[in-house]
Amino acid sequence: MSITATPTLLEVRNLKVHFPIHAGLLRRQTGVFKAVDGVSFQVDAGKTVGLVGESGSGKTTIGRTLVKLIPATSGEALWKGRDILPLDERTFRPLRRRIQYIFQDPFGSLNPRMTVGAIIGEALEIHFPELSSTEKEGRVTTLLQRVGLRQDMMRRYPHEFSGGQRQRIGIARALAVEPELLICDEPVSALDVSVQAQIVNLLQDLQEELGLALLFIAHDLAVVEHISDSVLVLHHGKIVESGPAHEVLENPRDSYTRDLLAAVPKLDLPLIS
Amino acid sequence: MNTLLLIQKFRALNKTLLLLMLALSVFGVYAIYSATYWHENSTFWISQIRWLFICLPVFFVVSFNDYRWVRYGAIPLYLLSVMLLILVFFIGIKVSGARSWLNLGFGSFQPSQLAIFAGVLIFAVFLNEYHGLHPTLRILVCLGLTAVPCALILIQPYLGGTLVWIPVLFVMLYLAGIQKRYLLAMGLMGLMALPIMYFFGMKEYQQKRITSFLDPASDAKDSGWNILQSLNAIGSAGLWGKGFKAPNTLNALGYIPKTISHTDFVFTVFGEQHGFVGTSILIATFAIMLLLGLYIASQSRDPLGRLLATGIVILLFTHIFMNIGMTVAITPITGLPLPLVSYGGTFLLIMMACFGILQSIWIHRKPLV
Repeated sequence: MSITATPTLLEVRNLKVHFPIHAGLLRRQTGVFKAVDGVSFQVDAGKTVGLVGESGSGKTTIGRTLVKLIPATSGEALWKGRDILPLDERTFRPLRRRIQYIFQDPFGSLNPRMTVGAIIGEALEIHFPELSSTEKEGRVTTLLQRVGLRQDMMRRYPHEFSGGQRQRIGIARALAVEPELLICDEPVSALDVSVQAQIVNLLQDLQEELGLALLFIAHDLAVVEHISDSVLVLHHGKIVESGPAHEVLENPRDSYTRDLLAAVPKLDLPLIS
Repeated sequence: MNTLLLIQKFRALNKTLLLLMLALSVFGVYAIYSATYWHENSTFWISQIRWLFICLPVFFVVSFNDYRWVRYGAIPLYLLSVMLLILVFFIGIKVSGARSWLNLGFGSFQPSQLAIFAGVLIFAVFLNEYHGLHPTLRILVCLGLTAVPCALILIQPYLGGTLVWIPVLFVMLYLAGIQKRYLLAMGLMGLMALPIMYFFGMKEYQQKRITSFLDPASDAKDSGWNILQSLNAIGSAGLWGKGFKAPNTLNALGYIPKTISHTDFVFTVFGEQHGFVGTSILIATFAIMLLLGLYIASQSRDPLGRLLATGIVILLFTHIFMNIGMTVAITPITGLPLPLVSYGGTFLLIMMACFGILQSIWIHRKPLV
């Protein structure tokens, strides 16, 4: 009998991100805020890992540290076995293509002074400089269609789109460089509920189609349960519980996870027979 | 004034300045239309045309009369403007949080605009007539003349209407022969007073304007909104702009607030529609106009004319610089309109009077033949 194990794309070991606290007239360091404190997990190819926790628990800090927007204090993040945290920007750039980020705020994450075509095209210019302008335009068209937008929309500016459409543009921009891992930082929390479902379904379709791995950061447990294969529950920068999504969310062992689940509002309406 | 003299004076007008003034006035109507065409029942551009027809006769009357009337007219005009500013305090109408306007029945009038115009006239007359006085005394009198209307404008509160006095006063004092050391001392004292002004003299929304000028993104949804939207509109326009009446512009979609798109932020709307090329042409036109004003000052037959012309040029420059500057975030938002372009009757009237005086200085620089 042969066992085909899913290869591990990213393995995070004992990651710590601490921020100094300054106070007083001379802004002397008076303490340390431990935003992420010894977090370990792994993301396998084609799988979705949900990262949940309340605001300020360190979810976004983990995501941003993994794409080196925030420097790590210590720990390792192994991309296919290679630690990416000590790499300088130049060495990391080819890997940046492989790990893309979808931001929480679709209103603030797109350059308002560029057309949608230029926003997506910019990623191509950086990572595929050999492409001609016709090829680039062709790629942008394909990407827009892939995320459910029309070709003619590439000439428009971000302010001409709704929140859901802007998030689709953000996804198209991330996909432009053919990533293997998408870090989705609360990608639906700024959207209406009906639009949230569309974006989550789009991400799932793209995952199936392209074999993407997702690190899905959210505080909405229903969304995380729907999309994730496994879940990590984060509290005060530490993982308090982890495991398969249905197991963690249906039979939580940690009291904090139970509190999180209890905080989800429920409709308690009488049934009409 | 007989007909022959009138024709002679008409012929003696500075044609380039006249042409630029008329071109900018017509352009103003176009800019106001393109900023407001999508409003329901928008009549701002028609109203601006009406004001233009009211103001043009004023321009010609001021142009054809020898500017030396200001020696007798400056004080009454200054006193009138101070009285109107006091009146605003009691019966003024509030627009955008500032009680700056008087309702005249057929329209509204902003006395602070008249005050700065009267200020230029009274500075010119005083500095010309009393050039023998000790510099300190001349400075103190000018500061006194500035303080009264400025205090009244500041309590409206209309910060821009106060700020515009500073460069006008400095340049006119300098031209009147006040030594640089006095001006430097004044400038340093002004700088030292800035923190006191900020913490104790400004209202919260005015402080927010300063902080949002330094970092618009810190309050993107509130005090930084106008600056950020303006930067986005101008920044996204590119070389040629999005075009006249282009669909889905930041203006047409209401990102530039309707209340300011045709007044303080008219340059933003024009910039979005006509891009770098359009705005460059507009700025170049203003620059030529200002240089022409300085040339007129240099050709004046007497120091009074030189002081008047330079004061007016500085007044124009301050408005242009502060207005365009705030739309591209190089100056804080002060609510100063763009000369001849922004919507507004009072300001157009004052501008026409200013251009009238410039023309009068030009016409009367030498005897008519």
